[in-house]
Amino acid sequence: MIPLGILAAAGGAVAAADSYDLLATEILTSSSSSITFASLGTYAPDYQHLQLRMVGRTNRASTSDYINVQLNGDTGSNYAHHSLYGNGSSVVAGTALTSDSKMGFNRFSGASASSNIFGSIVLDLLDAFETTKYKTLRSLGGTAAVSINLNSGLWMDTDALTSIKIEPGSGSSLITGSRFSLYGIRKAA
Amino acid sequence: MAQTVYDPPVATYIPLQTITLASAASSVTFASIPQTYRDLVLVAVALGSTTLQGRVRLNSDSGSNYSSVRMSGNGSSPTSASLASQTSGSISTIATATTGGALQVELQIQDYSATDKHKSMLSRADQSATGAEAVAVRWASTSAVTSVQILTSTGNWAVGGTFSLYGIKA
Repeated sequence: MIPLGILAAAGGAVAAADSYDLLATEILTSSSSSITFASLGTYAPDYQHLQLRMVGRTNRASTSDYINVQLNGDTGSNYAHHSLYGNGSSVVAGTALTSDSKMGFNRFSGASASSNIFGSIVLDLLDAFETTKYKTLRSLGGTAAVSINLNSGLWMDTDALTSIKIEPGSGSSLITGSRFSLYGIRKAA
Repeated sequence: MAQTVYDPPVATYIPLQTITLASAASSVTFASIPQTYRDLVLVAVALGSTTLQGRVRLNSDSGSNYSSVRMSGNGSSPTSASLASQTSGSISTIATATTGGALQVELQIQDYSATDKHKSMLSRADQSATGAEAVAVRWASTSAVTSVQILTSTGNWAVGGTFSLYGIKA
């Protein structure tokens, strides 16, 4: 169907059938330091946008954690990202990072959260394969005990997307049960 | 920990049901939800018979098992608040109007068919005259979701309100 924000902007418009496809899923059966969706270039001919739907928890010794995202294995200072979040008492504009080595998105649960509590994030990667523009990302995510978050990210590179790496922000492991699903939104015919 | 790559990709975001109110109602229920998807998305566009807010209840559970944190903007100042031990989940504290722009809610119900975690939901709500809002909601149950009820805080959803449910595979 439609990326999160596009659906919201469209006021609930419904796309044509078969326009939103499941591409890959990883559900962790053991802890992992990161996960990577690779070989994404094969999707370039057919898809305009990608969406990641995630339900996760890390081993950070806190009630919550964020995730870091890197594209195409780029570890250079080629990312910018911002956040806006509500923590139950105030709405906060997070620190703006303009030349970071990764993009942060919120919010998963951490090891101090009660058992069975996972955070969730829906992340849109817009125009993922266009080679005339930097790549823009945005997400809605949160965990009810901690915060609700809007994040934006920019990868300052015009290369078509080939891989997405996800790892914990502060913890060292994504824990069992965490789920990462990648979807493609088709190009117009 | 294997990653499943779908070749060919699997078309999903499947419309399951749309309910258009022919008469005012204090709640709308999607029952007997199939367990063949991983996530649900509910899109509601509705006016109220009075000024009201939106709530969600899963599996008819009216126990104090819902919590939420929200942020919203009303044109003058942003606010954030959290709620614990509620008998339903708050998906919109932005009050819908009785005329003019309808309240729009897009509610993501993540891993609804999984039984190893509490259910986390993400709501985005907008009403042109009153503001914009985002909410994270948790239902403290590991049960698979078989029904979704969209409630009002008071009064009724007005005639013509539409409530659509979609299923997403994973």
